Amino acid sequence: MVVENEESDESIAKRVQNGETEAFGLLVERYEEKLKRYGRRYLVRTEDVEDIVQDVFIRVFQNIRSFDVSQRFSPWIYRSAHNAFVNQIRANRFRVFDVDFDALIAHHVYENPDESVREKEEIRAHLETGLSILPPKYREVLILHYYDHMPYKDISEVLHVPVGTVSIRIKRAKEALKSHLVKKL
Amino acid sequence: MTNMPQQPLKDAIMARVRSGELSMRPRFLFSVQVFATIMVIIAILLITIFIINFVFFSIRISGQEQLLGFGSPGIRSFLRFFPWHLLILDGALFWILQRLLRRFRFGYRIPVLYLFGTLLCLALAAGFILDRVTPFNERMHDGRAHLPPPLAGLYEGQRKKSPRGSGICRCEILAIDGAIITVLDTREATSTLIVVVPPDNRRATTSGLSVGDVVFIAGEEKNGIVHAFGIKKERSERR
Repeated sequence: MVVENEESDESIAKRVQNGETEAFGLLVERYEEKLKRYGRRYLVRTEDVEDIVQDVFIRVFQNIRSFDVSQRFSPWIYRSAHNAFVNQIRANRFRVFDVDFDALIAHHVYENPDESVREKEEIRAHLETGLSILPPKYREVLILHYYDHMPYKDISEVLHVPVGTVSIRIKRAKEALKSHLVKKL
Repeated sequence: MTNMPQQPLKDAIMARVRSGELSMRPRFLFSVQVFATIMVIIAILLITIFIINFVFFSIRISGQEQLLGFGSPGIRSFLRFFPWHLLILDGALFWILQRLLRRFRFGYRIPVLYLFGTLLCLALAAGFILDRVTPFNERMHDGRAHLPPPLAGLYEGQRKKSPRGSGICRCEILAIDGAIITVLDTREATSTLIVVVPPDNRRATTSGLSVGDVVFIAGEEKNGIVHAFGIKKERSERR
C-alpha cells in the first residue's frame, strides 16, 4: 500500500488505461478536494461545485485513454475541471465572441521562483478577502498559482494559453487586488 | 472536520465504474477525432489559400490591380470594387482555423495574433504563387464549364464586364479624337464607351496610344461618358 501512495499520478493513469479500473479510485482520492477547492474559489457561487466535480471525474474516467502518459496528469485533470467551471460561468452569460486580449501577443514571463513563503502567504491572505472582486480569468490564475502551487508552465497547460499570458494575468491580477485593498483602506 | 463528504463521491463514482455504467472510451476514438480535426484543418487551410488565390486572380484578370497605380482616385476605386465578401469569408475561415489549431499544444503556446499572422502570411504567399507562378487559374477558367456550380460561377463571373456606371473597363481603342477616345469593352463587345481624357494628368493621357491598343481605363462615369483619371496600355493590337 505504501508503494501505491508513492506512485505517480501518471503511473496510476496508465494502470487505469490498461484496464485496472479500481486504480481510478486513487486518482479520485488525490484530486477530489483539490478540484472542489479550485471550483469553490473560482465559481464564487459554490452550490454546484460538488456536482460539477463529480461530472469532471466521470469525464476524466471516460476520456482517460486520450491522456498521454508521457505528460503530467495534474494539468490534464485541471484542464477538464477548468472547462467544466468555465461552462458553468458561461451558462449564466451570453457571449458570441469571447476575445482573450491577454493571449493576442507575446508577453514577458515574470515568474519569480524565489518568491518567499512569507510573500506567498501574504498574497494568499489578501486573496481570501479580494478574490471575489476579480474577473474570473484573473481569479483563476491566482488560485492555481497560490493555492494549488502550480508553476506558470502547468497553468498554461490548464488554460491553453501561452506562458507569457499566464504571467501577465498574474501580474494584472495582483495589481487589481492591490488597488482593491488600497480602496478598502 | 470530517472526511465524510469525500468518501461518498469516490464511492459513487467507483460504484458506477464497477457496475459497468461508466466505461472508458476506446483509444482509437481519440485517434479518429484527432485525425478528423487535422483533416478539417487541412481542408480549411486549402479553402483559404484558394480564396486568396482567387482574389489575386480576380483583381488581375479584371485589371483592378492597375487602379493602385492611378493615385488616390484609383485607390478609392480599388477599395470600392475589391471583392470584400471573399475577404470576409476568408477571415471567418481563418478564425475557425486558429480555433482548431489551438486544440493542439503547439497552437495554444503561440499568441493568437502570431498564429493568425503566420497563417495569413502562409496563405497569402501560397495564394500569390498559385495565381502568379502556376497556370492553375487559367486552367480553371478555361475549364469552368466542367467545374461544380460554385467554382464555375466564380470563374464565369470574371468574364463579365465591370458594372455599368463603374467607370472601369478593359477596352480596345476604336478611335482617338484629341482628348476623346472611343473604346469597346473586350469582355463584352456590344457597346462602345466615350472616354474624355483630362488635359494635365500624366496617369491619363492619349500619348503613346493608337487605335487597336488594348487599354485599362478608370474614371468617373457620368451620362455614359467616362472622365478618365487613369489609362494604362496593356498591349498594342493594331488591326
